[in-house]
Amino acid sequence: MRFVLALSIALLTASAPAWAASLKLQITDQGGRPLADAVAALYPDTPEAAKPGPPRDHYIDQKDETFVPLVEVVTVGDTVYFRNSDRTRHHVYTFSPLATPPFDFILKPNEISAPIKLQKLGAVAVGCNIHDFMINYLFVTDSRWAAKTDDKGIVTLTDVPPGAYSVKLWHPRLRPGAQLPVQPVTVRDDQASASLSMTVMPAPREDDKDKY
Amino acid sequence: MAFGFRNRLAIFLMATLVVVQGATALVVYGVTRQALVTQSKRDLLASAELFGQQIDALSQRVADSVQVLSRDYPLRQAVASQNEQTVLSALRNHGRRVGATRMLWIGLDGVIRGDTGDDSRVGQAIEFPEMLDEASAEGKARAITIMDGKAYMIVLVPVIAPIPIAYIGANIPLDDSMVDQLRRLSSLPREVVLTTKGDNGAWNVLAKSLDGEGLIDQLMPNKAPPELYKPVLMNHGDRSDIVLAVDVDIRHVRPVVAVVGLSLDEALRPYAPVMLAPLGLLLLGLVAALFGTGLIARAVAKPLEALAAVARRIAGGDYTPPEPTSHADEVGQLSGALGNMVVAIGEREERIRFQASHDAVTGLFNRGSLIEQVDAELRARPGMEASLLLVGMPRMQEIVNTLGHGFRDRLMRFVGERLSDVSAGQGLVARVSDIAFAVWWPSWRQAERLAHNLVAAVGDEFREGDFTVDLAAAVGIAVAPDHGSDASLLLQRADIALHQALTNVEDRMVIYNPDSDPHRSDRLSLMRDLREAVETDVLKLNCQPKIDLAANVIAGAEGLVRWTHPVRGFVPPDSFIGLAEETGNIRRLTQWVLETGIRQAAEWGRRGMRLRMSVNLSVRDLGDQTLADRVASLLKAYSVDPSAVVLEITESAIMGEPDAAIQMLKRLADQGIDLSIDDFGVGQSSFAYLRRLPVREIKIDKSFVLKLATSPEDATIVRSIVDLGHNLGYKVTAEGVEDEGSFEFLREIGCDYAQGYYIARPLPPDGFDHFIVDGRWSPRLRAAS
Repeated sequence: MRFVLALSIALLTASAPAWAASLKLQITDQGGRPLADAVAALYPDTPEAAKPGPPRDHYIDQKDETFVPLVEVVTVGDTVYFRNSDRTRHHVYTFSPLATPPFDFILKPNEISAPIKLQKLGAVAVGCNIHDFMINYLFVTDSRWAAKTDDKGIVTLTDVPPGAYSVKLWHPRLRPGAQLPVQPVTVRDDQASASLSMTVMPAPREDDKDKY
Repeated sequence: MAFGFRNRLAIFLMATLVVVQGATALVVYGVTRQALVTQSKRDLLASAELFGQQIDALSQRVADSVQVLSRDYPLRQAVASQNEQTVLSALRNHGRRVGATRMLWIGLDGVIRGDTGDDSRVGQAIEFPEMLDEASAEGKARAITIMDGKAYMIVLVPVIAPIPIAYIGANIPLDDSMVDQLRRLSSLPREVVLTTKGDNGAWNVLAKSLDGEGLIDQLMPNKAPPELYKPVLMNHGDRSDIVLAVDVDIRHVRPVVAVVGLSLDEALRPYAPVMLAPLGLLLLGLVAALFGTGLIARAVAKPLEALAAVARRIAGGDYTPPEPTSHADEVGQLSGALGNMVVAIGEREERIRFQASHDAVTGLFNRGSLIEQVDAELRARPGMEASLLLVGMPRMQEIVNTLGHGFRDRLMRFVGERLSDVSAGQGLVARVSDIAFAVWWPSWRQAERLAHNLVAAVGDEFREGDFTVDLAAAVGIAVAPDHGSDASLLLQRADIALHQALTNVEDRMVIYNPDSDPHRSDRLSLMRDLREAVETDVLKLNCQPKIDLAANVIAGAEGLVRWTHPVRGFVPPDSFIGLAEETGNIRRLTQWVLETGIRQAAEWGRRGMRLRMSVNLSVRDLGDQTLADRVASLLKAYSVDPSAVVLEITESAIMGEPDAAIQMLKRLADQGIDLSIDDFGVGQSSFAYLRRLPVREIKIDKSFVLKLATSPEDATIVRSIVDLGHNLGYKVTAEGVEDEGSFEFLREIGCDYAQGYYIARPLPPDGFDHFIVDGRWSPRLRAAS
């Protein structure tokens, strides 16, 4: 792993443009399996280089008794809406101390919640009190470059100026209460990539949906 | 006997029953028990498995309940907001629902945040952190743990809100009542014990079902369970259990083993009535056996007892046949046989009694019967006057010898009939010996007349074909009570009288006279003295010279024994020789005479004289088989030639026992000893008879010789005997020569030897020597050789 990482860094260094690039990260679990819905947040070692973008709205849909998407990366200052696309009610709640104040509301079918602003950094777990197995994570970050991996465990961060960065990783299956793993990465070219690994808990079995 | 037989039969039957039934019961019991043990082991394994499943199911149920509890929104709210009091009260509330004694609120870091039991553990990490991951991954985790020596089922579930924010733990005690409940659910036998092995290796009992005490105390003294999943039969005292240990298959801190026991006795209990059945059958059989043997034994014993009574009666002399029985079996046959036997025995006894008391030839009473009846009569009337007449016939012995026993029997029958006729009605007639009859006459006044009648009756001649015998009966009479008070003595006395009567020509009837009885006691003492005299050699053997008339020399001498009794003086030889014959002492006397005579012959021989010594033999000597050998050994001892000895036997001696006598005489003659017939002419012997004897010499009885000189008849007889004797090859000696006339007459008629007072009396040894030296005759000398 370390060898692959070193090789990648060497490649990046060789072809890095001077001002901006995309960083492609391959994130795997401790067994080398690609991790979907893993969040990577990039922090430059020199803070002034990060300039926050404009605030955005995030819509978390509830469809087929599932929060969609499972993980939503939210930048501080963004607004989050919950939208009920099912024909049942959903009782959206969170006990996360990161949500101030904690929200707790019932959405009728086709109802959209009031805007929610999240100020504290971290993952806010949102559930449905009616359907215990429904879960949604709002990953609140202050990073200029943060995104989640796709099904292949790949995330691409764009407009990253070359330089040294720290990558903070998060995943729903991170052990509860554990510190977020942080890994350094250097961006030298306009198209850099790196492979990162993190330790997560085993995935629940597919047929165990009822248990969540 | 009936009692013994019945008892033996009963005991045998009952013993057989007991043994067979007992063995059957034992076998059945053993097989049943073995089958039960096998079945019980199988059942126990299944039940134990069920027990494990029940514990699992219980924990599952509890876990589900706790999980549901964890979804309670207010609880999640309280946990999320860290509202401790609310969390604890909610946990307490829910804990009661699932039967937990203690509920825990555990942080994600495994630290106990709240405890419904006591707060002593708050702030500490839980004892089983590995369960946290399982709870997170599986939604729940179960385990059995041991705290303070007690077993608990621990259920851990995460609080999801919607990510795990904490854990809730529930402690459900696995106590006695819980174990008992599980036991009921798993249809286990009564006894279940949960044990665990402590750090020190010792096993501890965690919980037990209600009746589990005995299992632990009696079968597992060190609490160690047997090998897992191996049912074993354990015995303690009279208690037998099948014991099985299984581990409780749930996550655990320490292995917990459930030990289940199954009482074999209890398992056997349903079979108890079955086992009682053989006992019942046995009792029934015993009663039947007792009853049956009683009946059989009675059926057998009763007729047997009756037969035994009959047998006893027969033994007692009652020969009445037993009543015929209706039994057709062996007993009936036995009874019939007994009846026949009784009749046969009665008849036989009658015959035997008749034979025992009667003479077979004449049919008269025999001697024993006579004695019996006479004694009985004498006892019945002591001092009664009666007479016993003994009837005999002279010459009967000769008649029998000549004409045979068959003739004698017919003769005796004839005589018996005559006697019976004469004494008919009053006298008792018996045959007391071969040739003598007795008549018991209940009086003595007419005894003599009866005797005359008897003599007269028998006096007829007995005719058989053309052969006629003149019978001349003699009667000896003894009378009671004068001559004896019992039959034996009377018979003896009558016999003496008869003996006299037989030798008495004038009177054929003699009444016993004690004075003439030779069998008196003084004669016995005389006999004793004689024996002593023989032993002490006080007898004398006198020698009477015998002259050879032709050569006119002394040819020999006859040895004649003389006894001078120290008190009585001279005892006549006839007297003491007869006595010796009668008392069986003649052999001693003969031996003395033989030895003395042979010694004398040897003496003469040494002195050069050829004198022959004649020695007299008694009739009794001829019956002695050793005589010939004794004579031979004496001749040898004194080196005497057999020809120097002549043995003289009277005519009557030979006639008495002819066959034995002839035998003995022949043996003597074979040795070379000359034999001489003494007293020839007075007996009934004939020359024809004598011819059969190995005799060389006859001695004419002195009764013919004494008056030879004066009696022409005697002279004729002597001349005839001499002629006849010579013609038959005999030497002839004349005894009793007392005068010269006789002596010369004998010489003239050619008689060979003469002996008598004319020549010399019997001389003592020194007198004989004198006679030889100084006498008219000189001895014959030995031929010079």
